[in-house]
Amino acid sequence: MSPALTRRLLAIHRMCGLIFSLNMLVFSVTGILLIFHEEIDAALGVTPRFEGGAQTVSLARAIELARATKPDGNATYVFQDEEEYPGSILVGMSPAGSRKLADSKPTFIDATSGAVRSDAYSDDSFSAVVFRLHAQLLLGPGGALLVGVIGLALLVSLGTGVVIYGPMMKRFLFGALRRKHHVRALVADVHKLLGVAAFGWTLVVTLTGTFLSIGSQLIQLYAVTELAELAKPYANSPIVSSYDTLDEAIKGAERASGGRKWGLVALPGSDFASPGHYAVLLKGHTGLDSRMLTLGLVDAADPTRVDHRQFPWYLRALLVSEPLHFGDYGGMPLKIIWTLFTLITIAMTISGVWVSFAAWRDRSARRRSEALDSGAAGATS
Amino acid sequence: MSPYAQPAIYWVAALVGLVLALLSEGTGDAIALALLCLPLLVIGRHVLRRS
Repeated sequence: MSPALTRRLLAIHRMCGLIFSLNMLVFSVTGILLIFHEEIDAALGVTPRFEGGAQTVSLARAIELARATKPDGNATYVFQDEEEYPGSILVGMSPAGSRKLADSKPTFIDATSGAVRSDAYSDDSFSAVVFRLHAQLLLGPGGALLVGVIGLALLVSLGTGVVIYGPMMKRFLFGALRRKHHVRALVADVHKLLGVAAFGWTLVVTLTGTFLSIGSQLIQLYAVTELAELAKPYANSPIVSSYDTLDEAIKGAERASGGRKWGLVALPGSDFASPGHYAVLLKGHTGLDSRMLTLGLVDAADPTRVDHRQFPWYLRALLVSEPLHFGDYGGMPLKIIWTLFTLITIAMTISGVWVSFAAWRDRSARRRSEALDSGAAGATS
Repeated sequence: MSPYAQPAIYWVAALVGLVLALLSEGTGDAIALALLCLPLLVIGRHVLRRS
């Protein structure tokens, strides 16, 4: 690679890194907090803990109970996850006039006693605010797209960093830190070591984060194309509002999927189902299969009629991106590894900014001294 | 030797570790975590080295 090209790539690397360094720090700090959001929520008492026991409340009954708390709202989904919310059934309630899952807020129902905790979820909870800062920079849905653009710039910074690493390190051993040189050389060496050794992880996390930033658009794309096509025959049907067949529909969807387990049901009329269908999201039991959701579209009037299908490639890629970005698939050891890598990213960002400013300061000082020298030389001649 | 020869090992280790952790269970997880730890250990070794 020619020195001129290396210099140009270094300039791009520095520019992308410097402009978005503050964003990178925000993503990193909020990312660490989000790694431990379950623990933080539990400590702050955000998630209600029910006593547990055998489930006696049917899902249809849980929806009834949730609707009674918000008579003007619409029930849009039912969700259950024994690991995350033990003993709870979550019913999504959207405000009047909306049937969007994104507008809905969960109402927690005790699966044993039927007790309702409509006040349990708060948009202003610490984790919710941290998540919005991380994913949308607190700018709403448009902010997610801005995060995507920043992600692309950070990918450019990472890519150019790796490309210029080779020419810059030709004369040095891997991991060499010039401790006896100028402090700028030492910090630059640390920056290069952190960047190049952690590149595999940072690349995956930045790539998946950038892809996740367009997640809402991809889900919307599926809803208005493939899902809308499936729901076309029912487009003008009245919206089913009695959910007596829901429990049976879930069993039918689980059977049709070959033993997968339901996780979430989008209720008829919501933006992820037809007016006459339940859209049952089904997950496998282990490993990657537990992340790769499939869809069971069940006729609400006749729950024996089930259409089980895979999601398109872009939604499957989105489903895989989430665990690879958040590192929430390997328990506490993986969370700790994710935290260490994120701390390295923070150190890499700060050291990169410091080196850039130090280089600029040294160049300015040299120019000033050269100007003084030439001025003095001119005066003596 | 190319300056990329050694870093490439850590990139592959991290990528294989990430995917293996996603795919595997039980003993597979331990291998995955070990692979993921490799770049961290290398950074630690070089930064903490005295000279």
